[in-house]
Amino acid sequence: MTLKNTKPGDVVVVSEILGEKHDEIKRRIMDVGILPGTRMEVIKVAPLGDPIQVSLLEYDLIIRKSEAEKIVVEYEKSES
Amino acid sequence: MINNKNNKYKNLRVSLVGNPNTGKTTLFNRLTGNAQYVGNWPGVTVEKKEGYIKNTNFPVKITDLPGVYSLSPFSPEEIITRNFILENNTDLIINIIDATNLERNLYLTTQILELGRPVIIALNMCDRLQRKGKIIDFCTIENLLGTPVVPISAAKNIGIEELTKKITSLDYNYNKNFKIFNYSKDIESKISKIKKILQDLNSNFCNNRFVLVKVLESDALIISSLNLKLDIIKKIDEIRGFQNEIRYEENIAAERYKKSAEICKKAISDINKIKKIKISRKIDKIITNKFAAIPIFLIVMLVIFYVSFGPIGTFCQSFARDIINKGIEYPISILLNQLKINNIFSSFIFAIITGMGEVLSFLPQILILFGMLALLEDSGYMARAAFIMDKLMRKIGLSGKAFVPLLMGFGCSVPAILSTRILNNEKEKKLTIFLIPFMSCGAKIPVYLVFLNAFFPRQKAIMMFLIYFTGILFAILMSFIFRKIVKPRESPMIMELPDYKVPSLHNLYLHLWDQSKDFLEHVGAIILGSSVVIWFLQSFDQNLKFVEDNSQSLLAKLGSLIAPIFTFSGFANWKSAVSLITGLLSKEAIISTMSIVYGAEESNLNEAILQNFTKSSALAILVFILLYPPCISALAVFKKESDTLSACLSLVINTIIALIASILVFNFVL
Repeated sequence: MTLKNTKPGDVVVVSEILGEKHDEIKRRIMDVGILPGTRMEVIKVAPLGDPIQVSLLEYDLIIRKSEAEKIVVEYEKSES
Repeated sequence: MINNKNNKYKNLRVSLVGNPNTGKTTLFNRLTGNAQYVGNWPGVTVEKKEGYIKNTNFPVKITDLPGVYSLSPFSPEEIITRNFILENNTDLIINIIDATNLERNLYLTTQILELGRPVIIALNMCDRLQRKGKIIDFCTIENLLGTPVVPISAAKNIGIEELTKKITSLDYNYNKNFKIFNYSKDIESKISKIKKILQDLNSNFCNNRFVLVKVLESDALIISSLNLKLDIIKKIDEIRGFQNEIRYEENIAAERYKKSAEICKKAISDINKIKKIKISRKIDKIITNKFAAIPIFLIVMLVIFYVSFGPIGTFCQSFARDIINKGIEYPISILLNQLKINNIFSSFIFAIITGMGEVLSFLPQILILFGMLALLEDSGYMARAAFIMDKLMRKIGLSGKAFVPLLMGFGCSVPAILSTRILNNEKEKKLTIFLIPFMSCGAKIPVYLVFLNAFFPRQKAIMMFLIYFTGILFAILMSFIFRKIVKPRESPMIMELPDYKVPSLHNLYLHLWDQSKDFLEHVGAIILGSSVVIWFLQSFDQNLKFVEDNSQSLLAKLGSLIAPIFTFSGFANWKSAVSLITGLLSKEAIISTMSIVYGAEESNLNEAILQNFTKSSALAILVFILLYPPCISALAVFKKESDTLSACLSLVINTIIALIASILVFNFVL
């Protein structure tokens, strides 16, 4: 599953960032703090359906679905 | 404070580095007392800015570098910032950190520290963090990083003196205390192997940990700047292992973030465990609401548009015009009469004054528009607008934020082009500037009305709509062609959504002051030059004899020279040609020129136009006026905001398109 397939309200953990060698988008994704293990909450989808707003590391980020597609995520395991 | 004898740094060079939207420019203004505008939009500083820190015993030059998340070599901001620091341009780095966003900010710090230069950390917005129920222990950060940390609040002007003191009294040998953070064993061993190779080569960079790490990541820019021989590069590739660049890039980033998280955990403690929903989120429940967002956005745009170009803006412009007329032009004309100066000189003075007056009269409208845009930006709404409009704007190759400048284009191209500064992607900015002239500007409205009154008195509204629509259609078409030819790489939209904040009036004032100065300096010069040229053309004949009647002038000659171009468009006479040429000065001039050359009062212009045009040729000239190059003021800002080549290119392309379209309209419509 990638970040693109998530819904507002979902809490996910990043497992992998897809991308080739020296991929600018991948690098940028990592530089803003999205790395394997990062916990993210999906806040909302823009009214026209793209981009999406996520929250991570105490701040909010806007990211297009085409970029969200590169971020492989899984649902956070509940702590029960 | 500091002993002057100890002052070996006659000219200390300091650079200001930090994440976007951390209060970097505000701090710069506080330190220098300078008027630099600040926006609540990530990436306001696209070029670097310089100033001198105030209240120091010796000159300390400070450079405000573009905000970056990292020192990767991808975006222009990152490259500017990185090169500036690497190229030995700086004695000391001030790393500004947003305390409310410590982890992400420290990620950049881990890279900056590796550069091996003295670093002072300015910890900004500690007060905001406290409001979130958390406290930060800056001594812990100081100890963990081994570099001085000064807590400040740039917005509230707290801690600036302490920071200035620290900057001027720093022991520049202290950086030996840097706690360089160690990567995992594997990475560390690779780094020392690379270091060994560079040491053997006597490279200056063998002790620069940042460069070593970048070589391991196989950063192409760094590697090429080292001028390594092929066999050395091969050796390094072997150390790294083939196809391993991705792994190292990823692991190094991950380890840096891990380190940042560790520091964060040690330095920040919750004093108030109640989890509050961010106020910004609550506001966004309405502002970016699924159903309300777009109507709200349109209303906001409408208000801006109405205030700038509606009654208020128009009033301000005519008010400014009046002041210029009565306060400057009139007294000077009396003075010139009194002094009985010859005709040539007085007409020269007049041409310049009217030309400059034209520019000055734009200023109030520009200030209103820019003031409102600045409020939107400062408050954080602009980032929401980008979020809302992004999908729509992407269809024409732009991002959400480009909507604002394009809409402004319907008012006046000059502020519209200037407002593309809110775009932080160079290519997108260029494309937007290029498309703005297709948005029919307000100054063209009188021209349309004169022609429509004459030929289509009953269908005025629908015709107006069609004219505007044609402009938009051409913009979409041009963007499509532009992207087919240039194939610009779509830049990713990964953007921080800043919290809302109450706009600061001080900020607004700084912004407007900055913009007016800029506008008058750059655009004024071009207007001055072109006024002189047009004055010359319409005052002299080909024997350089001064003429009273401008139908004998070089301008008229030029008009008849150009007129044949319009043979297939149906308005091939020198009179329309001259009107269109002066329209390049300002679109308002088209009508005034027409009334002069057709020898009619403006009220009788109707008659003159009915006699000189047919329905088809009237439509053709309307389309031509819609599409042909914008006025000289707009071209001046076009050049200023992009480059000379692009401005010339736009001039040529718009002329050709306008010509072709007018020929098609003349021959095939009606």
